[in-house]
Amino acid sequence: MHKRVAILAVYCLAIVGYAVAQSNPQNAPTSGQSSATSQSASADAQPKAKNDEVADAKESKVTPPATPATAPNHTPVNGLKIPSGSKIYVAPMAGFENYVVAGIMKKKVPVSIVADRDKADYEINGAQETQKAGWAKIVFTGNDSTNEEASINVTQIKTGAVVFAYSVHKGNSVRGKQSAGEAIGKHLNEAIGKD
Amino acid sequence: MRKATILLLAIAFSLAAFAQDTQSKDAKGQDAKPAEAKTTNAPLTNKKIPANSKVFLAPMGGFEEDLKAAIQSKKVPVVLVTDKDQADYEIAGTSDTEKASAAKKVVMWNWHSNEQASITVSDRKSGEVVFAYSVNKKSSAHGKRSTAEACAKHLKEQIEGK
Repeated sequence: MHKRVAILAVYCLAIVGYAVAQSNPQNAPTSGQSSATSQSASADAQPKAKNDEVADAKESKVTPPATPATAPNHTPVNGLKIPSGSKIYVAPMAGFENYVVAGIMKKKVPVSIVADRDKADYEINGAQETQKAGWAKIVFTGNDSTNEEASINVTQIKTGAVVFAYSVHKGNSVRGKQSAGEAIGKHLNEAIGKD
Repeated sequence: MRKATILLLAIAFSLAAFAQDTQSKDAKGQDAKPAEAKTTNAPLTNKKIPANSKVFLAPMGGFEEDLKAAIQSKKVPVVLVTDKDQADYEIAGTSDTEKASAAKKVVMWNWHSNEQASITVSDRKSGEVVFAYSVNKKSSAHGKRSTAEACAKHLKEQIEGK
């Protein structure tokens, strides 16, 4: 009797352990150009997790007063600002650079994106990671949305100074990498529009 | 004994599901983010692509073939060239396919894949990106064809100025 219960308990623990292991983020990001500054700069500026596009739209419409404790950290890392109309080069990020460019274009960020680094004033580097839904999540929640994480930093090419950094985490991302790319575009737009 | 077994298994599976869903809840807890004032900056990179421009499709892991077919089926007014030197514009991009997992097939009875793709169109002379678009299709009915056709449709709208 006791032996049966013990076996059952071990079996249950194995299931939970497997699920927890699946839920942990993977060790390495998909592209290796992550910057340490990017996470610290705006860790508190994470957008809403669920139904992110709707949430983004709502955020831009409603403007409650910002308190210093919860205000997103959009202040430039080195006290430098990105001027409107700057030429920006988006470095390869294992395919994610295309989503970033699309996000910047969609959010109408006042910059010129160039494909040649030599013609650019600023460079965007970063890393992105996707976590697919595990079997337990699909079985019990009926949700197969991915969790997305991305982090970028904008560097002035001449001086090498990091002028802006942002990281985003979207749990149950409705539109996958597109959501992360658009969040980056939105916050870059806000940073540039503040001058 | 049987009830206890069922109860234990139910708890274990519930915990498993909860563990896989923790990240979204963590994110929810941190979203005390005040809205920013909406900026009204006009995009600078919003130049139009002239009709009948020569366009080169860069390799995208096979997605370029779908995109080529979609550009033709959607009648996008561009001329596709195979030589990069002859092209005025270059389309680069990426595409990801997530095949339906066993759990999705069993629980949702759904065999369709999730597709996402993103393209950028850059002017070869100036090096400027003139158009970019990304698409995400859950349970895509026609796989990559759907995302490619979405890209082609929006490219056509951009060229025609809609």
